[in-house]
Amino acid sequence: MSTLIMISPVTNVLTTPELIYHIFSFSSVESLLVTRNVCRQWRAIINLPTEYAKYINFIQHGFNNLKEEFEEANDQNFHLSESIDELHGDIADYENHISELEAKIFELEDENKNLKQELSEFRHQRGRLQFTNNLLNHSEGQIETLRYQADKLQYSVDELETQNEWFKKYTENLQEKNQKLIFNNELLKAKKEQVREFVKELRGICEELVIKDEKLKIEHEELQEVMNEFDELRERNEELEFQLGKLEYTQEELEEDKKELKNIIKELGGEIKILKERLDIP
Amino acid sequence: MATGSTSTNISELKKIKLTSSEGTEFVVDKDVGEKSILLKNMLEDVGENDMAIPLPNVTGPILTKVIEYCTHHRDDFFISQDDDNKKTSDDIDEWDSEFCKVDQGTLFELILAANYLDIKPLLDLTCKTVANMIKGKSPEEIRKTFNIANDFTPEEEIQVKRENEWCEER
Repeated sequence: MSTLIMISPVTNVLTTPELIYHIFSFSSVESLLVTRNVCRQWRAIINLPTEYAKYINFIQHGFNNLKEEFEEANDQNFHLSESIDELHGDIADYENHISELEAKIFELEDENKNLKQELSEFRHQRGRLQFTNNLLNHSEGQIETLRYQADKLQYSVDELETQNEWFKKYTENLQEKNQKLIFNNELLKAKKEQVREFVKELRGICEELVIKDEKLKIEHEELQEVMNEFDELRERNEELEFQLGKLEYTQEELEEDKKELKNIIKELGGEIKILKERLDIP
Repeated sequence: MATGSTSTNISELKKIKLTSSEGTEFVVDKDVGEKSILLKNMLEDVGENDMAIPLPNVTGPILTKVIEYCTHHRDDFFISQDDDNKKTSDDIDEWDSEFCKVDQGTLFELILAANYLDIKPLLDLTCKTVANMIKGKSPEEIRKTFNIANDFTPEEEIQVKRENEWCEER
């Protein structure tokens, strides 16, 4: 007993089979397999045939490997779970994004519908505008033709005015000539009167002047010729008066034509204005 | 225990005297002392007595630790872990774990005292602590920890190697 007290409590415990057995009873098989290799006494306590121990070691080794693999797989599983959670989050984000995009697509489809409607309206308007444009082109052609006609008429008017001027001058000349002829006629009349008086005087003197009768006959013949000339002049004067009247009538006609052309131009201007107003439609 | 609560109350009031190997006297409540099966049997055999019970195998410091343990667990019903299948070294609670954080000599002295005084829970606790110290160590590390000599013959060494060749491959 005294010897036992002298040794250390560690040695005392570890050399007491009952206590060692009690300690080992709390050890795992893995721990016991290691523990039995510490000393001969412990090997005797944890008594196992070598082949059994070898087999258990083999099993334990496999178990440890499996345990490590399981832990690794568990770690991987944990990481995969985290990744899956992240992916779920991403999927949720993508789903939100998709729903937003779908809403946008819906809006865009609506917009597209409206745009298509607007496009068809624009096409319709374009058709109308093209029709109007064609009308305008046609009208412009007409306007050009009318302008050309107007220019032509203006040219004619100008020509007629020139002619009118010329005829006026001609008429003035004729009038002057007529006046001269009238004056001459008057003079001739006066001369005729004088001649008549002179004839009277001559007749009175005829007898007296029988000798001078033949001379007077000659004079008479000469006077007759003058009278013929006078008749011719009168006829010519009448003709000139007729021509003057004709020219006056032509001038009046030209003025009426001018007025009509002005009216036509005015009407065309009105039509052009209307067409221009139509062109301003949006 | 079978006598009921009145008996327990009377027991709680009673004190017993214990003397350590150095002769130091310890006065403890009887219910605390009776956690030791040895003391309980002695008290039952001797009857009510003022005489101190000598404990020549237990030193004062170790007896102090034992009393501390028994006082802490005075109200516990100790359940013996006789079923080998349920034995494990991982079921130590926090207080017990702190209680066992002592030097190796004290721990083994506590094992000896628990064994001597027949305090099964304390013996289990201390043995579990030693089993945990062995766990995860190689034979050489265990020898070093507990200062055990390698007394295998060369033939036995070969046999040990053969047994553990799977482990060595790792």
